[in-house]
Amino acid sequence: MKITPPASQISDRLRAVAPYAIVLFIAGGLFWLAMHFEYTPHAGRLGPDVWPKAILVLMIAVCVTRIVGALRRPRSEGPGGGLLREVIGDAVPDPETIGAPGERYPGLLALGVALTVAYVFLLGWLGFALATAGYIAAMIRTGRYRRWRVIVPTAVLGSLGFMFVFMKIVYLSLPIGQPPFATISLGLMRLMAIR
Amino acid sequence: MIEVARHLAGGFVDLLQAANLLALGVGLVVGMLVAVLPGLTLVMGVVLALPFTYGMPVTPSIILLTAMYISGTYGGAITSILFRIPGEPMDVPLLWDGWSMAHAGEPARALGWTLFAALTGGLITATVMVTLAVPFAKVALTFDSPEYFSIVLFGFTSVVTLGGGSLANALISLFLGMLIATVGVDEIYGVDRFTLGIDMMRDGIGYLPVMVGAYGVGEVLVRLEQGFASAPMAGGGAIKTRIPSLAEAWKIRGTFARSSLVGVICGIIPGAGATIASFVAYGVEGQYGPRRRELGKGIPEGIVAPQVASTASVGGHMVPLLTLGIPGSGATAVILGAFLLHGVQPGPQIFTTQSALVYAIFASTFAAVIGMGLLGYFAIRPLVKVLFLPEAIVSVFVIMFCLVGAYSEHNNLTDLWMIVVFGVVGYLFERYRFPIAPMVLGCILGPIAETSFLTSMISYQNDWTIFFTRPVSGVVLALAAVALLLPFYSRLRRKPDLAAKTP
Repeated sequence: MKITPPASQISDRLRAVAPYAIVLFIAGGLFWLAMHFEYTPHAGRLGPDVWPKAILVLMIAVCVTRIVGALRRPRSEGPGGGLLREVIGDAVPDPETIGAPGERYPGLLALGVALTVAYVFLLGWLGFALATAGYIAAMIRTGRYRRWRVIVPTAVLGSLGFMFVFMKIVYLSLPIGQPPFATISLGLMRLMAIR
Repeated sequence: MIEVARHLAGGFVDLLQAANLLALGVGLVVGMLVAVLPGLTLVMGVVLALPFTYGMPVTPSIILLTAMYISGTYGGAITSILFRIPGEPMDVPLLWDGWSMAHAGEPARALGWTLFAALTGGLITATVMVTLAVPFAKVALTFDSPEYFSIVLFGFTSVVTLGGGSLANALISLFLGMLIATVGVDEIYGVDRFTLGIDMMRDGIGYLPVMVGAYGVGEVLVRLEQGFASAPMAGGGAIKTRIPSLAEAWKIRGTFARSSLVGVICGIIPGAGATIASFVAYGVEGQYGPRRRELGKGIPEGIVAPQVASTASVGGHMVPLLTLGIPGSGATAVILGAFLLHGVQPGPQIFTTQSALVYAIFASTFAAVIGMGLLGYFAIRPLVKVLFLPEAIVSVFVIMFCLVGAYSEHNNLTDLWMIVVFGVVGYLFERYRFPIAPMVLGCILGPIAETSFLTSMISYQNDWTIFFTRPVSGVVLALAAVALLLPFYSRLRRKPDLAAKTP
């Protein structure tokens, strides 16, 4: 008689397999790219594809092993903690299990990533001072801190502080932005005696 | 030995220059602050300090980073003991006995033992570093490319197997790092590898954006997803440190000796860092210490073992960095970056070409240990005040330092995109329990491994047996094989135990 695994077991297995399947797919793609490196072979020398191909073969082997293992036993993580576990024995808990997170806020994470991408994207246009002040304020607010009386001065002073330290002391050329925003950056630089 | 002592005296004289002393002082304070703040790791702190060294001469630059590294191994202990918040992963073992002793009404005693342990570990590590470096460099001069390849391979296996989690995940992380290091134009053939036709990829991906992104931005993203939910600090009260007497310390000399040895060895092995040293030392104490049954109940041995080991690992790490040019940890990788940015290549020759610099670093290590002790004793109260800063504000400044630091390397916005990409990769790694350290180490040591492998193949007419037939290389490869196979052996050995326990 054929026994069908329950839906939760199938879902567990898929969840366990997913990261390795993605890595396997990427590794396969990179291996295909490595097979198409264009070069003129030198007699007696290994080509530029040998090293990356060797790494990719090992990576693929690990992924396949884990996928097979996870399909058989979804909750198993495979061997791990070798020497460390061998020496410390059961005297201490597994370092990996310490500090397990509590509640998650994926919305905050998505917003944080979007803000960081927007900051890098707008940096060349708005200039460092304006983009940074806006970014600092938005990120602090995203981090669930609500006191605008603290957020605004922190953002403005933080942005100016970074500008002063990195442009005046470290002699770094930070982006000043495009007109009309460049005028603001140049004005601030004049105020801080940055040449 | 007299020659070494003479050079070291010269190093102390060099250290007295105002710039070097300033770098030392700033490094100690910032290192301790970074370690005190949860979510801001020691490696991140050293990375964030790197851009400030661009305009500095090489000696104060390295002194600044080394001082941060040393004092960072102590700072996190304070929050572990007082607030049950480990400032660094290496401080987790201090929760068990350090927090228990503090909770039993003896916080000053717990802090005193920690400080004494850090001082002892630091002085031992500095002495070992000075003693071992020159003989190591002499031996390293005889190494050829097969030896370098084997040592790097050993580093790879140790970082993979010493981590506590899944071996498969650690291997994937390592291979990913090694692949990242291959991106760009190949040095021998001039061929584009994995550039995907994007011009900016032709320069390759440096390990700094990978490291800063994965450790810095990635960690902030993880904490942002948790809503920056660190527990609010209680008042802090009267924070004092009571140093144990020498007689008290002498009673647990065995713990000091065992843990120092563990720390130094973990430091010398590429890939095994202060965190591993700290856990291993605690574990060794739990298995072999005379008071192992009382461990975890607030005894000095449980505080001394992890703290001595984590501080003692610093000098161990500096030995392969200075003598072989191989960084064995995230922090030493950044220090290597600082060396290279100033046109200095660490390796066996550095002891003849840059002897003054090397001995100034050695001298600064001794001074940093003493400075750390003084700072830890007298400045503990203001240091703990930083914990009252809202995490959202601290975190956004961490990201800003990451971004500006990455930008400052080449004055190029492309590096910022790399930081964002590797920040997300770092977050995904944390989320799905893939360790970050192997990826970073793969990225750093990958090019050394590839170059030494290809050079060996060219020099020895593609005879791959050369890695096994040369004595040093063969022994190191055998150790690597043992390290890699041990988890499987360990698993096989545990299976019957588990079967016996299952009803």
